[in-house]
Amino acid sequence: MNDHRLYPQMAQAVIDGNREASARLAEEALAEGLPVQDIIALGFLPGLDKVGELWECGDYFLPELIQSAEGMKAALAVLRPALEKTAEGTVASRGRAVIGTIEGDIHDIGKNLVSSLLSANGFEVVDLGADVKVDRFIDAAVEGKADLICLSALLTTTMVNQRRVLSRLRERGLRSRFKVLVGGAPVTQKWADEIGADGYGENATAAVRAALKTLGKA
Amino acid sequence: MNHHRLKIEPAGRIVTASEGATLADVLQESGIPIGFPCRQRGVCGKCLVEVVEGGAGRPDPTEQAVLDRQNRPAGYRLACRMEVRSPLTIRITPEAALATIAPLTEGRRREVAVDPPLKKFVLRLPRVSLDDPEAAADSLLSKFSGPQPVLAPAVLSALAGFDPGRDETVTAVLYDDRVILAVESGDTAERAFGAAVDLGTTTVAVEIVDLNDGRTVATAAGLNGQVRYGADVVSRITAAHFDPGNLLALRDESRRTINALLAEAARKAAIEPAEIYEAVVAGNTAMSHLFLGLPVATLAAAPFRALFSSLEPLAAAGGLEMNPAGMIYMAPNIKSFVGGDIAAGLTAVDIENGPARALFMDLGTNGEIVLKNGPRLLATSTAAGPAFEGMGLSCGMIAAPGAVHKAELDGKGIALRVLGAGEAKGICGSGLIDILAVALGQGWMDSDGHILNANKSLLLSPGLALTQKDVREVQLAAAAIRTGMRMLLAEAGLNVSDLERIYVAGAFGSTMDIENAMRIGLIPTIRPDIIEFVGNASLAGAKILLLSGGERKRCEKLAGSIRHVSLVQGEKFQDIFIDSLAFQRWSQ
Repeated sequence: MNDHRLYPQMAQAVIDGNREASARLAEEALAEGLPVQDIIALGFLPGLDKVGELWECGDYFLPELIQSAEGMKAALAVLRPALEKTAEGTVASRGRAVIGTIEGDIHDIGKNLVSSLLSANGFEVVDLGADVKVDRFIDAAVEGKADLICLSALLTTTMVNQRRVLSRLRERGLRSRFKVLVGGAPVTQKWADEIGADGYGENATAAVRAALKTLGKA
Repeated sequence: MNHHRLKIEPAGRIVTASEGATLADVLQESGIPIGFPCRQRGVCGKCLVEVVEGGAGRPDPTEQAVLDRQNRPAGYRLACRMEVRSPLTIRITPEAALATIAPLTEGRRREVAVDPPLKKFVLRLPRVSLDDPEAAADSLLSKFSGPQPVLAPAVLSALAGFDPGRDETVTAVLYDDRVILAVESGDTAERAFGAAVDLGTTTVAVEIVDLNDGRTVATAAGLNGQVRYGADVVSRITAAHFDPGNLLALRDESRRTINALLAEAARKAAIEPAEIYEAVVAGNTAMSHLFLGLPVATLAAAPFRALFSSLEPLAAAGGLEMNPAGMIYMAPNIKSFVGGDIAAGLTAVDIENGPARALFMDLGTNGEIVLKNGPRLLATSTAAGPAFEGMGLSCGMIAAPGAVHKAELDGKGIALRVLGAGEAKGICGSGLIDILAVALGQGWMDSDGHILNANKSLLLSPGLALTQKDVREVQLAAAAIRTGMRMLLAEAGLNVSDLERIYVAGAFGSTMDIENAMRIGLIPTIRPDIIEFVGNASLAGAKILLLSGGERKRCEKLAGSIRHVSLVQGEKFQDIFIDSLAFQRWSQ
């Protein structure tokens, strides 16, 4: 039943950023007995993918992106209990991430977007906020048994602290335990390679792709 | 006295002229960029204008000869020879328009008693004889009653040049009643000039002022050479932060820019740079640090703290090309990124003596906003980016010849007005506002900033289009400013409707269309008479600080009393920012 009539409606609800519709459609789908993984993969996620395209071509801007992410999260909230019951949980928890804006930097809108989209895509996210000290990232990742540490920086002058996170991980003997993603306006793939990060995304939707790729779930 | 209304094309400016005034004087006073190479002697024929409507008058034979040489039909006059006798529409010819940059250098002036810290006194040093010869310095200092001033090092050497056997007339240059900076031969008291400098991130403006009567004798403006290192403050701070070599290069670049403008203005005023004894430099915090070659590490990361606010005046030697014994006074920084240019601007508008609830906004690269609520002042910097100064856009440019600075609908579509005469090369801030307002009104773009045609761009003229990405850049810049305003108002517990005055400073000056700016939500929808354009208030304030020691003290005290609000410390910031992205009117 890969072409159930509800699936396009779900995608549209996300594209429209319509939280009520998303939640309602999720409930309806569950009531009809549709498999929860399909509801997400065939119904809602295509909507989020379309939103990503619209954002990248300039049609959708920040407000729309945020609203759509909220729409997606509304669906996931309804689906979560059902997800937790499934054996595989492939989309349930695609991973656990710790995210924050690096020490010395107070910009957080970009980071908030990534956090939102990661949640919308099924990650469990702990958002540490902004001006987060290097060791706090690591402590939170250890405590939360995270898979990913995501570091955002908007200033070239604070970007250097991303490198410090990686060297601290090595010093503490924890480097192999986590995948480290970096992002933010001055950050580039070259920088990510230079400091030995595991992944990089040049915008919020690319960040999610990078997260999935580094965890081998692309 | 009769007055006439003049319309000046191609800019579309409306000015008022007195009966019998020389057109050249009217144009100069209105800041219209037109050149007068032969100093209005009617000889070079460069200030040629076309009289499109109104009485062209009759050229005298000398002028006629010049016009004939240029093969001009009737209806053309030299502005320096033409007297205004009726309402006119004048078109500045391409030959007359200045090819150099003429960003707004006029600001709102207010009357200030001319009492500059720098003064010149004519003295007679009496001859001495073998019998008990008084030391030269003692002869000089004995002329000063009250507390004796200190002598700057160069003064003693200068005193060696005077003939002790004669009564010598000399002029002493006294600074702040404390220091004699120099002693000059003869009576040079009339030749005392100062420079007011607006050290902007994008454009730098200089005004040379006669310190005896407070008159502006010349102005010059140009692009800040530092733009090579980045269009905005953050990229320059970054460059300086990572490489001390860059810090010195940035320092030198700002000095080079100022010196070139000083030289240009000095030429225009027929003065020597050595006759400039003091410079007041008003720039934002980053600019003022870079100008002094100070490390910017503390500005590069949270909490973004400045190294200094008020400073004692500094020796000019080795920095600017002016009198080597001269002094430089930095307009005081407020806090963090809100700097001396804003302090100077607040001085220019005399915010303390204005209405109790007022907002001052500088629509330049850094988008600083100051909110006055009775005795309390709050300030913030919105880091709007240079979109409104035309940079960062595919088709943006500063307000210089070739810039589309106005746009409106006509029967055929969108009509563009270009600065200077000629083809549109790009769009400047005021033009952007007009174009977006028209696009919104005509449904070419929705209020979310989405361009609604297949090309996703607004074609304005062949080769000139505003792209979707450009619109997004403007949205981000406007949202930053709007958010700054809303958050300051919230912090003070005020509504937009409580404001009694909004001062708008910056590159827009009087060319911004208020209605369009309200339409796209750049400024709140409010009674238009509350809004006052103050043009380059930083430069106007720098001039005031140059002319009055009392105003400097007031400015320093004011700067120290302002509380800086960081926009991002509230969780509300993101919500307000996202909400502010749309092009729509707002009033709360």
